Amino acid sequence: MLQSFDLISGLLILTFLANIFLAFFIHYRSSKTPANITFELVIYSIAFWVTAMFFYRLTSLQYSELFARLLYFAASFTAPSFFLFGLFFPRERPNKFLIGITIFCTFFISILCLIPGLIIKDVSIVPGSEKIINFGKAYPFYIVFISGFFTAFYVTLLFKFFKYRNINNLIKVQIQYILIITSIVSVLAMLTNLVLPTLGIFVVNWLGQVLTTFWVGGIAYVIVKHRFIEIRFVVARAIAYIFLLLAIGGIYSILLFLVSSSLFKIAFTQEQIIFYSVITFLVAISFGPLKRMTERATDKYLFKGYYSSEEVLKVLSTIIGSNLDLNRLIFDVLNRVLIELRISKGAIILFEQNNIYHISQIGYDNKVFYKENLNIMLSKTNTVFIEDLEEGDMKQLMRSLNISLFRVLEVKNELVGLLLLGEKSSGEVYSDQDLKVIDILAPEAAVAIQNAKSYDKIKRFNITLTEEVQKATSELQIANTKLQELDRLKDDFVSIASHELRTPMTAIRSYVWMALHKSDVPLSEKLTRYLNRTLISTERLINLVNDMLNISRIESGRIEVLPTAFNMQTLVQDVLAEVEAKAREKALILEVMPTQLPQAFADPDKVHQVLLNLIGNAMKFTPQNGKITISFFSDGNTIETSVKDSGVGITQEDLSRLFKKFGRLDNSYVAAATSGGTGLGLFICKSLIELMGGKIWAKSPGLNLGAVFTFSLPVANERTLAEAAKYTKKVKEGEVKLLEPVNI
Amino acid sequence: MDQPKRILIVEDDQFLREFYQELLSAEGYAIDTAADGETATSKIYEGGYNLIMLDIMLPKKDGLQILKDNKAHPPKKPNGSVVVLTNLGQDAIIKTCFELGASGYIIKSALNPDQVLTEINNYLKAGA
Repeated sequence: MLQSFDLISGLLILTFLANIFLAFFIHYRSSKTPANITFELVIYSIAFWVTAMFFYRLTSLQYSELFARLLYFAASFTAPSFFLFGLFFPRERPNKFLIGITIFCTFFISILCLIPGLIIKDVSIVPGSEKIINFGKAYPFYIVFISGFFTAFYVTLLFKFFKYRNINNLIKVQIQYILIITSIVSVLAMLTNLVLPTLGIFVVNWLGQVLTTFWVGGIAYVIVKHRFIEIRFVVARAIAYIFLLLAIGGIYSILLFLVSSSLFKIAFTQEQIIFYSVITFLVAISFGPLKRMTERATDKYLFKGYYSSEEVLKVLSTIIGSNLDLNRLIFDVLNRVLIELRISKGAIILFEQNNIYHISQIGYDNKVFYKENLNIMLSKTNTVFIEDLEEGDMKQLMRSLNISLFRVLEVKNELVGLLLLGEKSSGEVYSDQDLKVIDILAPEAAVAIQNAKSYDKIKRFNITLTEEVQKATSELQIANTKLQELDRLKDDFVSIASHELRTPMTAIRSYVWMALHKSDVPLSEKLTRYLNRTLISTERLINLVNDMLNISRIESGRIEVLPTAFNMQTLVQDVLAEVEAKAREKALILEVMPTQLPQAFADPDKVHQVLLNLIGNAMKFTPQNGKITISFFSDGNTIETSVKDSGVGITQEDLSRLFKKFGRLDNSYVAAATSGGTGLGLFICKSLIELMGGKIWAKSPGLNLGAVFTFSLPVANERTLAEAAKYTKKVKEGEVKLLEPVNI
Repeated sequence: MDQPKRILIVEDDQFLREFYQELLSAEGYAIDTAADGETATSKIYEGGYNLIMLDIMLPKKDGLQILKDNKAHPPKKPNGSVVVLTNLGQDAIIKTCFELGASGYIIKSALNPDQVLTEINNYLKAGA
């Protein structure tokens, strides 16, 4: 008795087509990652299962038991293939042991399914309803197997979901969807196709298969929406392929029936019609792969000579266009030529100024590459083929070296290399097609090799250059270390030398002073003058040493600047107290103009030094009874402090030289000489003020009209305090030096 | 005037040592001298000086070590203030000297003899 072709059968065919469609969809995508391949496996197993159900439902009692076994055999591949996919997704290398176990279990259970009586005992037919299967003793294994692998699949995907949750949002979403869609469909299918049949209910035994349509739809959604599998040109190709299948299958089925019924008067049962239709479809599907397989096999074993010149040249062009590495390029081109043209051996030899530069060979001895042998061949410009040659030296040589064909590779008449090819693997003569391909290929390859050679040279040059730069750098580093060492030695020397200088200078100063003031005989006016000048010069010498030490320390970065907020007027008063005695000697008037001022932000010790210098200078260059005025001005950002004197003044041209080293002015030499000036004080002032982020300048209306020296420093406001680090200068512990005091 | 005040001058440069000796003797002080670190240490250890003028760079033992030894082995008779004589400006060494018990310092090259006298008198007054 035969179950009729009904709605359910139609649904099963649709489901099968949907699955196959999805399988092609994925099969034709560009990359073949293990995840994609296993996913394809999932779909094929489902399609197989759907097909089995289709036939199982339609077969008569006689074959029902056989088809039931086939149905369970097919079903045993679904769960493990899901699990395999779960292991490989998205791009992982799963444990080989797990894969082995899966394959082993699947093999074991599927064999069990096929053995009569083990899982399927027999099938009974209930008219108007689904067939009933009576299960055998081994059925519990099957239940454990299916539910076990599905559970393992869920667990694997859940594990990956948590793994990728924070790493890759796309993969997370993909897993989420696959998990939801698969779990809904598989749980329902297990209910209708595993749980219910176990309980003896077979009414919805077919529903699991049909449900996979929804699964296909869901996966298709994930593919399109969440880039589960990249699509590219697949859609068009897949559709075309489906149409081709439908056309071939349809045409031949119809032909078959028409011819059979009209010519041979054979009537077919519905069962046979469906059976033959499916077989025609199978023929259509299997034709393509079978054709490729047989072609490959015959090529391999029978050395079939046919190939498409266009295809070969295209492949070679791709190799040539995508390779800049010389060794790879030559080897790939040679290898590809040998494979495509089915040649036993070959070599490419590169020349640089007529000397061998590089050899790439497959299957040749080294004696082929003796220079005297090659030189004979280099004189020919066209492809030389042994069969075309008259008997002679050349033919003799080629024969002895197993060379069937050679071709000189040149670019614009410049020798690049030589292509040598041995006999064809089949032992046949080179065809016209072979020679044509070589003629087209040779110039193209020559240019590519030339380019790669240039690139190779640049690469080598780059390596040499890098080495040179590294060498130079390390030499510079050594030199720099030496210079730093020398600098330190110089500083130490200056420091020790000035210390040693000062001991005798102090002795001179002290004894001259004693001679002047504590003499036990009266001094003549002349002697007093001489001794006075000696004393002043000694003081100048001492000051000079101090100033030089200070400059050396400032310039070598040994002076720290530690700014704080302080009151400038208080500091000025302190300095005035220090110089008061000296001012009284010259009867100078010292005046401060009190002003409402914000606090300054600088290093008070350094400002003290500057003030002492400026006021000291003013006193030196202001004659008896003169006046020195100190005034202030602030615009809120800076504080300007001015020291004005009624002294000798400065000419315009001298103003520019004031703050330079030894910038003392010629015309004030007398004043300087009698005052012990060094010509370095203003330079030190400028250096210190600039270290603290300020400026210093001088103005004078002219000779004998006095001068004004002004320096500006930052105000201690929010902005400068926030940028305190900018105004601070720290020196390494142990290298800090202080300034020598100023003598006024 | 009872006992003249005793001053120990520790200075390795002969001319300077004799200069300070001459300057201060004329003021009526009783002067003792030491030209190297070891002599200075033993003299300080004997003690009884109203003021010690101590150079830093000395042969055999430098001023800092003398101050350290003085701290470790208190003198038999107590001494007055120690004033450090130096040629180096306000260097880190001076700070160390203060930590080791010095009362003040004189930069030799910066002062004329009358200024040196004023300073010494001040230290003696402060120490009395």
